[in-house]
Amino acid sequence: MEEKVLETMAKTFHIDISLLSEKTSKKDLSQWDSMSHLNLIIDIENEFKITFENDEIISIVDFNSLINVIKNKI
Amino acid sequence: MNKIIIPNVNNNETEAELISWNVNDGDLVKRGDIIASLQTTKADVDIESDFEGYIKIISEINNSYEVGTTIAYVLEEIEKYENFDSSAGSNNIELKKSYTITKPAEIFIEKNNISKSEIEKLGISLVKVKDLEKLIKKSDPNLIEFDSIQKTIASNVKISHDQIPEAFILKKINVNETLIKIKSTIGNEGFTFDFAELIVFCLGKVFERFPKFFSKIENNDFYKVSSSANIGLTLDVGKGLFVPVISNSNNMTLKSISTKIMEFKMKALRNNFKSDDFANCNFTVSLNTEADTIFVKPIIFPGQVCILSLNSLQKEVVIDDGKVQENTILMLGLAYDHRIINGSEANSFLLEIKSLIEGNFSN
Repeated sequence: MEEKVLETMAKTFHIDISLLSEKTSKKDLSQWDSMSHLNLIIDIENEFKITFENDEIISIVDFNSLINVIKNKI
Repeated sequence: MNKIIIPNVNNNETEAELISWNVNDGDLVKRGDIIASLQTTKADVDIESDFEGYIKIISEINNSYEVGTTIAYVLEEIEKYENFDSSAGSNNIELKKSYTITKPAEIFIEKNNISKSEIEKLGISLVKVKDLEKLIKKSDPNLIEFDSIQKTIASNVKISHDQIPEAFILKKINVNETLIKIKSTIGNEGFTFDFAELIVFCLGKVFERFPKFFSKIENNDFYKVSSSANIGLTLDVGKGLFVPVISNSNNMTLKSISTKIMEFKMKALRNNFKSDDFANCNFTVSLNTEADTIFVKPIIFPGQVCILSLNSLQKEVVIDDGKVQENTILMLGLAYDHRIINGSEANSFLLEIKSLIEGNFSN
């Protein structure tokens, strides 16, 4: 699942997957702005056939928090 | 027996189309009553009755009649109406079988080489440009008609240009410190925000000092100051332009504004807005933050007084006290209605926003 999430992030942020890792955070990645954050949410929803709640969308601030939210839904 | 005839509307017209009867056959009409409506190539005309009595209609709507043709009689007594010989009346009618072409339509026909037979095939008595456009579209399948939504947008742009005497001011804001603040909230404050959220928050903060900027224009000659700052935000996530409204932003925290805008962005992406989301806007923020967009000068939406343009961040190198320094710059523009706001007020308004953005905001 982690690999698939990284692939989705790379596609959403239009960057090479080698720039992403389990340590990737909104703080450190300039491409991860407020709008691309929501595009990522939509892309992850489509990829994993899940739907995020608003408080979950807000709680995602890095790769790990994204993985945790997804794990709770599948 | 009093006649109602097709009047001579102007010397260039020899006929007119009967559009509607405002009375029914047999009705009692009085002098001055508007009894029918006509259309010529130049104008719509109402026909008044010069007589009092019972009307006998002997013509049909959507037909064209020569000037002077009798289209009805007004009979003084009900018995005369009941005994009226309709065949005698109808003999007076000379129905115009051919069609009339409006002036703009004549020009359109010449420009597009439309044949007489094509016009006749339309089967209508008054030929307008709109009717002819259908013919053109049929003959050229590659023609694409303007989208109706785009037409509405274009109409608003035109109204804005025609009616609003606008002026524009652009401010350069150093956001080095602001970016540090924005980054520090990630993962710490339970929410994240960007410049769109911050601008809406700052607008709420300046509302009390600058209420005129949040007014609504009434009848194009008056304005009414609103009781709250209801900020519309232009959102285009690739599914069309939406302008949802953050109502009462003057009483909201940065966190609640950020959450609201996040909800709106998700609604735009999921295409599930409700009409209430767009209600009561009195100030619009135009988001033009696409990379390398230096600035966009937006139009003021009719009915509102201002629109603020938020543009993408730019890098700037300056020499400060002999040292080379890189700054991140935000360009913030304000288009405003000069009937209500003067340049010095607009300047003060933007300076206040600038001061808040440059680090003096607190949630």
